[in-house]
Amino acid sequence: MSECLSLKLSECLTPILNECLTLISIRGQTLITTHFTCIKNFLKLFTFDRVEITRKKKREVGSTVAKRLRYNMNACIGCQTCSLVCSTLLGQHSLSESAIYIKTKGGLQSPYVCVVCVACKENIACLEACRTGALRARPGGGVLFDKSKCISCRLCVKACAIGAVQYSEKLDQPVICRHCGTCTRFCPHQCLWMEEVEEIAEVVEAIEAEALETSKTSSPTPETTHPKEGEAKS
Amino acid sequence: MIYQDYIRVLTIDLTEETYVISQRKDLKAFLGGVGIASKLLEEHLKEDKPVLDSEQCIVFAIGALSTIFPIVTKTVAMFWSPLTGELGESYAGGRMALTMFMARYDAIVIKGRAKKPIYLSISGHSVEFKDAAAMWGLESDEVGRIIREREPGAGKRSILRIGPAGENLVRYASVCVDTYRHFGRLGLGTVMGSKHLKAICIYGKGSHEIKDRKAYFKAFSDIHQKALTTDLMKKYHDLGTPIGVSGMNANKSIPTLNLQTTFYEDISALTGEAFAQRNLIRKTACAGCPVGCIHIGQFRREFGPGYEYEAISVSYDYELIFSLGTFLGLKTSDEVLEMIEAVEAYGLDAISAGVVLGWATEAFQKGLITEAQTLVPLAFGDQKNYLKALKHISDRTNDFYTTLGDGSAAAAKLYGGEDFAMQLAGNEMAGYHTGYGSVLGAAVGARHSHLCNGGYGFDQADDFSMDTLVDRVFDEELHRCLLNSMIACLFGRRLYDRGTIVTAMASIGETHTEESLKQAAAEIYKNKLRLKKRMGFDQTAMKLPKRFFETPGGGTQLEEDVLNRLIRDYDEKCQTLFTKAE
Ligand code: SF4
Ligand code: SF4
Ligand code: SF4
Repeated sequence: MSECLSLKLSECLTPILNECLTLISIRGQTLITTHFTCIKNFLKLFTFDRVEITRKKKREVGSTVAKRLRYNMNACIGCQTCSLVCSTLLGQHSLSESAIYIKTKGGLQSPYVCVVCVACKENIACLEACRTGALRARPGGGVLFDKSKCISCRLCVKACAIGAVQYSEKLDQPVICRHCGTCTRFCPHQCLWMEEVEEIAEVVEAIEAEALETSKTSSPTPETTHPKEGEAKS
Repeated sequence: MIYQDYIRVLTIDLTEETYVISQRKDLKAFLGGVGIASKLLEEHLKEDKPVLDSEQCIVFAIGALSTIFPIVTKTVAMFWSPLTGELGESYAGGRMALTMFMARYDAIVIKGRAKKPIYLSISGHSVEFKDAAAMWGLESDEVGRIIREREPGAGKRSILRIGPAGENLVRYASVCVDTYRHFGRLGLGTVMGSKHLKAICIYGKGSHEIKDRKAYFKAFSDIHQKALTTDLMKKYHDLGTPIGVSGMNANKSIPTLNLQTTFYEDISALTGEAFAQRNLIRKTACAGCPVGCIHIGQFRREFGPGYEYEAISVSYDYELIFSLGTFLGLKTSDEVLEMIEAVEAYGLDAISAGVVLGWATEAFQKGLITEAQTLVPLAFGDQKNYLKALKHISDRTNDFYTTLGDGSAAAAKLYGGEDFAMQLAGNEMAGYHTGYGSVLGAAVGARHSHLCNGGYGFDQADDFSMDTLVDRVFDEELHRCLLNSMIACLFGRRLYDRGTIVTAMASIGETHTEESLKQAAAEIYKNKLRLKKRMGFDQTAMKLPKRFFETPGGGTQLEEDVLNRLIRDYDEKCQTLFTKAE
């Protein structure tokens, strides 16, 4: 950890750090190295100074701060940089493999709208629809996706009332925002940002206990052995 | 195609309603964009047939770095220009490059002529030839709306369409791309009209797997960061290109009243600031551009008694404020926006339309043409009659307007007034009369546009010198062959020096050196020059209107002899390009 801190990690990688540290606390010591490598990769990959940066401490088990993606589209210029950046997290140059989708309200003469997961905290429709346990609740709202358990039934796509679950034909999987915050760093007009979410401690504990339970039973997949930069893996 | 050793070309035959895909390894040496498009045009050009013959083709191409790097947003169209009778090359932004990239086509060649009006629906999996008979005659934005409702893929598609001017073969008909961008110049809309092709919808829902994610992301992030920290953002996002209006006017460089002068007394309501304060309602960008220079302005029109108003919004730019504003002596931003709305609706090139009307106004004043021909009296500043005249041009109402629809060169040839028909080799002048650089640049530029080499920029540089002007224009023309193979928006040109292009290319697995890129650019330029020759163009035989030498540009009185010498010098440099290599 001291090595990471010397890289001023905690100053600039708040949301990713959050995710990774969440995981550390969920998965226990064995995964720490993996995630530190991933953190360091991230540090190399990104430089950002336009985004407001807040100093954050390591998230303790059961602590009450998590983050989720928020947006305000009045300054959006429709550049689709967010989508193009998001799809690179899945290793693609694509609009279809992006969890954030920019379109217009009704033709280019109308304002831009953003279709992305709003990080539901209760009655999480996609999660409730999933029969296989491929989705589980994410601290801060929304869900975390485990491809190894997904059977491509698309029930989650249908369930989300705001249409925020995209489906990638190419990868044959749903594409759901993991609230990693990458896109927020590249939006040139500050339409996107990460918002802190106060969690009720008991909810976090319940989520984490469940996660711990499932992690014991799940076997590693190609995805988990090659974690995506900044992605919270299950 | 990205990550492949070939260029992927979709060739569509409208006559037969067939299409083929080819993987062309031989084109890879020409990088992309204008490099591959000029090669494809070279292959398909039939110089022994008329310009608008059904066998002629349109080539669209995206570049080697299209839309996966910031501000690399353009698509090139190449064709035989019905306006100048020589090289047709035009660039448009919007979402077209992104959708072609996602549909996995580097280039699309369209030839033949549909039996009845159609539109093309192109996706990564199919090309459909769809009936557009009911759309024939409709204005451009109406067609956009209809196709938007008929075709899938909101946010992932691009819609190109022509207006009535293209159908009626007005020689400077434009193609509207995604409402706010255009293949404006040199008559691509005319070529589409001649092919009975009303619109094209490209749906890009595919993807490309990234080879080296780390290298790509590093290169992308660096350039993105650089883009955000240059003055580009502020300059072009805040006021957009109209930021140049007041400066150009102060430098006595903005063509005004058919270039009778370069200084406009009544500029205050036409500056970037004036538009922003009075009309600006939002800004938008081409896909992949963090800058967002596209400015949308709104004006209110009373269309009936009883407080009946409608609000209309159109995009405005420097060039339009010049051609439809100062050049015609209009006084307010509202008037200019209403003119823009008209050229948009009819699908006319805004620059040519304005400049042609400038000639017509002066010819009318001088008695070369009469009201029997113009149908409405034309006078500088009379916007209402200009609106009517635009409609007549688009409809080709009578013989006079038909000729006017062939361009200012054709009209002046028939009616007189060639000295003040402000065109270069048939292409109407752009909004810069800054000195020798602006006229030389457009005269020798491959497509006679101010963007071929940005000659006007050298006039304004602190280290301007007549001795180096030809070299600088030449070098810039060459460098832009490279930029236009990527295809970077020219506003981002300072971001993409050769070194940056080498790095960006390397991150997607394309090995180049600055030297190899320079050579590729030279080859591309040579292809273009060869094409021009085949189309019958002779640089040294070009005749420029006298007005260029009567009205001082940027405070300099230009001399015809001097300019002709510069053109000859430039031409010699082009020749050495061929002798050096062969
Ligand atoms: S927060 Fe991350 S996963 Fe969600 S849209 Fe942005 S980049 Fe994609
Ligand atoms: S990156 Fe920002 S400005 Fe660009 S489309 Fe996304 S939200 Fe809009
Ligand atoms: S600078 Fe303007 S024209 Fe160029 S890509 Fe950006 S929005 Fe499009």
